[in-house]
Amino acid sequence: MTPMKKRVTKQRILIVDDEPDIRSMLKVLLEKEGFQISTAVDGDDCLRKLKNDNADLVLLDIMMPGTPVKEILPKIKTNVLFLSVIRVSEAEREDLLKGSNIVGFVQKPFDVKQLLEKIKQVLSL
Amino acid sequence: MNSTQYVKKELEKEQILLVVIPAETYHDSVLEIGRLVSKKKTCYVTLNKTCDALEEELPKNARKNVFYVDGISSSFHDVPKKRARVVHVSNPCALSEISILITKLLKKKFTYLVFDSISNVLIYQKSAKISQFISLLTNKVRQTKTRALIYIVDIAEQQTVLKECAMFVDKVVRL
Repeated sequence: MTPMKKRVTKQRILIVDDEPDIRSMLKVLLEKEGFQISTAVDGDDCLRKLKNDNADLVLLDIMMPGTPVKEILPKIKTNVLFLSVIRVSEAEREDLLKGSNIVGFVQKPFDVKQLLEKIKQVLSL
Repeated sequence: MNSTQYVKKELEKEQILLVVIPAETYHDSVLEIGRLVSKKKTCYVTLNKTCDALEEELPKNARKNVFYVDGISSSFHDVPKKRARVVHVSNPCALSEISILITKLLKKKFTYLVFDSISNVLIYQKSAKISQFISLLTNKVRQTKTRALIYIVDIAEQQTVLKECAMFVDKVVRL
């Protein structure tokens, strides 16, 4: 009789960034860490993907072509970690983090190790 | 000679500079030059930092000299309709809106105009549109005594637009 295998569900992360290099780099990195990754090229694509398949965490670039982030955010119900090439003031950063599902703000260019730690912390791993 | 001194020296000779900045030092260089130009009356078109972020980092006594055209804040938070020394553009790819604003503002005789940056517009617009915009912008600047700094990040993917825009400026300055 084969021993019963414990079923492990991979945590799902949706990477939303208009930069193909960032998407592919993060996808490779996070898949190596055992996450299940999907990607979206902008905010509208993000909402489409979330409709079909929910995620445990959305890594969301703050500035992308298409619908502005402020219109996309209220429609995302899962945890969001901002990735931003844009520099914002301290007050603006605090304001952004006030959203109930906003779990962090990471400035680009980011340190991959620190980003990974942040993701693991958010997903309580 | 540091980058600010270099830019300052070139600005004494030329009216319009295309400043090519390495990605690794972009933030620091832009702030350094920002501190220099903010000593005089400056129109700062920012698509890279919010006007609040910029203001936080500029010397307090220089803040009154800077007028911002902020193309990014309204994309991710609500902005006040009226605010002293700031005009918010609806979105960073609204080049016609930015162009109209700059045309109006140039009448106010700014010493410097900073456009930060071509690289940020490239997220939203094709290079042909950007070149057209830079051509228009430089023509407007040449009708005034304002000195202009146009920034672009020095990365391989942006060399085509860099070459196109270089045709419209007096000098390309590489930091």
